[in-house]
Amino acid sequence: MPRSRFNASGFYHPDQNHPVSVNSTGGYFIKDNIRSFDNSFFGINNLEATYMDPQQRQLLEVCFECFESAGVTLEQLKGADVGCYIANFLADFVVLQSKDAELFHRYSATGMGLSIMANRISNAFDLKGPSFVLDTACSSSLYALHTACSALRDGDCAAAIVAGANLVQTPELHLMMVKAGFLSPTSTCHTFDTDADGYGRGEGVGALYLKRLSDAIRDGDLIRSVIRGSAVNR
Amino acid sequence: MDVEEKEVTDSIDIVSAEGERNHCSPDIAKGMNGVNAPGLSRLGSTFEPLPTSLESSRPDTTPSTVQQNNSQHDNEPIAIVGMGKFGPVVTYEISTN
Repeated sequence: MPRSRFNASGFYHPDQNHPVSVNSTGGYFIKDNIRSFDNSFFGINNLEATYMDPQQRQLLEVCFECFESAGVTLEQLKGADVGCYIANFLADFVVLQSKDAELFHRYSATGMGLSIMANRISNAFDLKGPSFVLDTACSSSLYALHTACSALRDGDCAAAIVAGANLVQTPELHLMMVKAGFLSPTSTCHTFDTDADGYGRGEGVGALYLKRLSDAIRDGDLIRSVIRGSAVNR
Repeated sequence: MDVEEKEVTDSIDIVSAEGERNHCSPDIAKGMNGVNAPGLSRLGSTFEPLPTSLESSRPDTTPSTVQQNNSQHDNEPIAIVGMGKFGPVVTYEISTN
């Protein structure tokens, strides 16, 4: 784990039940600086950017990249009937910022607000469709994708941006996951493997821009893939 | 105490008697339906009766316009026309041991 997150080795103990310790110190982490953010590009001042969850920062940049990839201009997005479906279940920045109440600022509520992850994107690009954050833990992004597909079919919006963010920033949730036995002592995923003994946490931020197939064909979009169906259950 | 005040007081008592999870103000309690507060349904005319099943109690609130949209786009495939990412592509190592 990069030292920029937290000093995981300082919490290490081979026994997962040892108090305030973890037996999993690795995972799949982004090597780039997760706090880097071109805030002026989005019209956000330096002070507000300081209090923004890095997940909000990266979501904005990734969504812009996604729109650019789709060949959609900022002018076309302005006021457009585009839904924003964001997946997330990590409140690490809230935990981090709440350790000292003296640090709270007028930008703290929006900077760490989980719902703002979606609303800030809708606001920045002036999207007028539905905008919310969905949390179903590890399946959040798939749920968000399914919800967006359903919304497109129901006519809730003409297009949809679907994005997920997962950035590890504090030891607290990591400690809880170790205590619950979720994480592999090897910090490695051995999915469908006889060696499977838990999973290794991973970071990432990704986005997809969706349209109904008939609309994409009509608009001459570059169609990268087609989702023919999706479903959710418990 | 007039009749209305008595009803409100009764609802508070019954809410408390039905369990901690039903704590709410009389105003909120009056707005809750039988699904949200099963115990409150015993108040009779003040609240909706308990449904026999969630499925049968679910009202059809679908506006006609949405129904039309559904018929237009029902089962229509969805196209992915743009992508963005920040982070590595993760690959899994699967052994055959």
